[in-house]
Amino acid sequence: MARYIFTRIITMIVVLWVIITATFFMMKALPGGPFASEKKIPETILRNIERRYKLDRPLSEQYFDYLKNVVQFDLGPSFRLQGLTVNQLIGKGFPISATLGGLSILVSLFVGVPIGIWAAIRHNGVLDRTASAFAVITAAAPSFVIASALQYFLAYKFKMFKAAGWGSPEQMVLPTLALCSFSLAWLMKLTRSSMLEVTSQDYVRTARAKGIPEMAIVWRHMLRNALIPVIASLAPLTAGILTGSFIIESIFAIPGIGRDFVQSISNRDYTVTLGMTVFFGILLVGFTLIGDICTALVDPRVRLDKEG
Amino acid sequence: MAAPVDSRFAPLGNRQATAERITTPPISFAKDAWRRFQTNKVAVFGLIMLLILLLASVFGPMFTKHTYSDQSILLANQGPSGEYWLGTDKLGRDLFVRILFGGRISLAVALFAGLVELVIGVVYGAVAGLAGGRIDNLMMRIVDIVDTIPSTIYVILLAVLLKPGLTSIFLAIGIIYWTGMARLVRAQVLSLKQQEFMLAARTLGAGKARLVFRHLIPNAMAPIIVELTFSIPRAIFTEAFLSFIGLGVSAPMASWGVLANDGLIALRTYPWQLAFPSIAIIMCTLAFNFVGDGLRDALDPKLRK
Amino acid sequence: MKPLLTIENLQTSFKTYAGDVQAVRDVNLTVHEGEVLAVVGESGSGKSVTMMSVMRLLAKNAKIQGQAFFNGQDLLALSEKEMRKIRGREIAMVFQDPMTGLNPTLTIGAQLREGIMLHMGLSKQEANKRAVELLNKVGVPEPERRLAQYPHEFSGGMRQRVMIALGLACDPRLIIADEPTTALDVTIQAQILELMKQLKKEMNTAIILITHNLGVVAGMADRVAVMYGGRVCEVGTVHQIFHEPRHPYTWALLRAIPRLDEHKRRLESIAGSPPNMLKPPGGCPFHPRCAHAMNVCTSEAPEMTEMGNQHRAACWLMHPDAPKVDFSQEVTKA
Repeated sequence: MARYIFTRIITMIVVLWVIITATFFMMKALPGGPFASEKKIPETILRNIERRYKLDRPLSEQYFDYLKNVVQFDLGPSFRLQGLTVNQLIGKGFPISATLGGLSILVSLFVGVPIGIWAAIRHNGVLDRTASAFAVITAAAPSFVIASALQYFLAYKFKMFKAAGWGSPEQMVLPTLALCSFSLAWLMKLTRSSMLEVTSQDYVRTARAKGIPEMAIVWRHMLRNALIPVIASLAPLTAGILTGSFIIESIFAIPGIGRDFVQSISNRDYTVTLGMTVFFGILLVGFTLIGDICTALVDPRVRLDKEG
Repeated sequence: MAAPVDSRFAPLGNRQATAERITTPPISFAKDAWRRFQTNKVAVFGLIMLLILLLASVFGPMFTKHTYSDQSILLANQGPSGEYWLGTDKLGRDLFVRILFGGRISLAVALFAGLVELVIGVVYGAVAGLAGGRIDNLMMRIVDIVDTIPSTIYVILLAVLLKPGLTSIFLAIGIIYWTGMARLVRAQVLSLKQQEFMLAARTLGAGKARLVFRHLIPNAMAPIIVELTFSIPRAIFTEAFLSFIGLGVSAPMASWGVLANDGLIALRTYPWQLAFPSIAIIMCTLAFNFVGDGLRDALDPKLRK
Repeated sequence: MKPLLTIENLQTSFKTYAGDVQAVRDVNLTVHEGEVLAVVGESGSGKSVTMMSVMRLLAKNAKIQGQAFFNGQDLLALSEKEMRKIRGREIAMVFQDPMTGLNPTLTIGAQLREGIMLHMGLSKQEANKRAVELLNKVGVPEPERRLAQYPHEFSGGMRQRVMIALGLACDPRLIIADEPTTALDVTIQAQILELMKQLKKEMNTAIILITHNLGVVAGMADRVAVMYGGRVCEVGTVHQIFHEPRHPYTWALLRAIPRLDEHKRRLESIAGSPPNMLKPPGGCPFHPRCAHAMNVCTSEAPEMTEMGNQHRAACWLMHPDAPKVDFSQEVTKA
């Protein structure tokens, strides 16, 4: 187990390094500096700014400088928003995004998984068919469609919830619903098909032949095995929620880092884009690691196979 | 006295010839798969929808009264009417023909992105699978690393990096999303490499090229086609996402993503401007998903009847 | 010997989208206390489905008719709850593939304890003790340590021993073993069979041994039932079946066994292929492949003819009007 975790951590560090490096070089390759679209700036002022942001140093030096800063969690200042560092930006927006994202994940898990299990147990029953149909349609609609539909019908037309902003519970309902729709449908489908696969396994037949009651079989035999792929998928799930937040936060005018990220791209505020990408990378890598550890905890084959 | 011979007990004689007869006529794999596909009503429905969408997008704009860029400012933001079937947008352009045209763009982007994924993924996966051993290991580690990277973010960055426009979008999507195809192809190659029919073919004297083209690839095609069918809607989504962020194609050309984005701004007052492109996207995605599921079931050799 | 399980007029069919698959058509079998009954047949002959029908372990699309009397009760008429009390406790089943038959995420100890605690009401410690005894009995070394291990840490042969231990856990009166050695290496097969013989002697359990391997039958069985196309062709003691067989299918099976002690001759196979159970052939199911088939065989299914001493066969050749066949020639035909 220890060796497995150790290998995963090393892999994650390599991934992080790749992320940081790739992002850095991509940003440097972007056409037009951050001030390209400004009206003509006098040469000397331009030179000063460049010196301040160290843009006049050779590329390799800039790179190692940046690497050093990242390791110390210093993601640099924003080009556009005067006086604000990327760290501060993240500090302001992250708690909001985390709440939204966290809520969405919880809803997806606690609604999607049980429905998936129930649908599989009562295969081809009413719940199974409805849930599957719902999942198919939800999966076919891009998140902004769902978000807008919710906004239009539930906020504008029927005035049940607030359409924008963040802070009060009424404002939180629609964005959470919109954000979790895709992952909820996906988790439900995954759980359902995993359970269906487990039901036809030989060891379930053995348990039935032993006279074990059906509920005990579901709980002790089926769930443990069926949930393994679900747990393993938590990392990509979080990634999906993260990228989904870009759109949802923009549509619902929520001041989170998703919206900041989108704005930084259109503003060509490169340090912010760069810094946030690195931050997202760290976040996702962390979640992947947690997912791997959880999988090892639940599946003894993974855990013991990796031992020396 | 001999007992009367009961005709019931007259022997049937030697039926060796008929005993070894194979009862079902041989059908080629492709025909059998097509037959099975046809029995799946949902899949057939999806296929029909797909064909309609394709034909409408490709040929539709040639037959409409208005072109996608004709503006009539005075008639802006109108609802559906006899003249403008799906209404007009903020510049008075006919939404119907714009959606048809958008179909061309979105589908083209998705198709080309899929092809890029296919080429990179198939080459990478086939090399890894055929090489085996440490090279395979190394290549898979790389795939693992690429997978962990948040792809959408990199699609965005790449799209910003490359010159804005159609080509950069599908290149960006294809370059980032190939890993799924690579894994698939590698798994296929690995399992097929060891299967006995490959060994049998080699014993019969087949050379390496013949092995690859006549045996390996046809058997690997099925999951590749299925994966391609699913990667197309994903590309459409990603393209819509990029348009949302402002990285889509430039006006007056419009993909469904751009149309949806434009419609989003006017959601409160003119909701149909978002609704119609959204419906187009949903229908297209559903169609591809249905067809993909149907193909997956139809091409599974274990289900052959 | 008292009869333990009596199967009467069992018919099982499966509803599929292609039609009804008639897997079992009119099977009558009896197993007595303490005896080993081998049920022999090709894949698709209905031998597994017969036993799964009796245990009521088939899927919902299965239609079962007939009776199966065990201990005075008709198993097929019991409620699911009552049936669960019998499964694992009175009648146990050991399945074919030990690689997939055990839950990979539970320890061996947990899986052994499950049945013990349920049926025998023991506490966890008592169940553990019994589990260790069982593992000892089936020949798994270091049982205490093994209890805490997971299935993938056992070899194939060891896993099958564990499956047998699971079967024995609650001292059942009858064990149904469905091809228990087919998935194992030949040397392990021999070990497992030895084990089963030994256990049967010690515990006087009746065993129904489903197999397609006549060598296994010769080594273990008291009585043998030969099945084909969902019906029983012939039933008798091991001696009767091997030395005085009366059904053409039994003859073909015996001829098909490769012999090391005879002159080189062609390996005999049975021409043709197993019947399609969606549309089984009329009359006797074996007639398309039978060298002695007659007109009546294509239209009417033969009844079981008693030949004395509990030896029965279902074949029109037994009929007084049928052409005479020299039985002794049939098995040793070159």
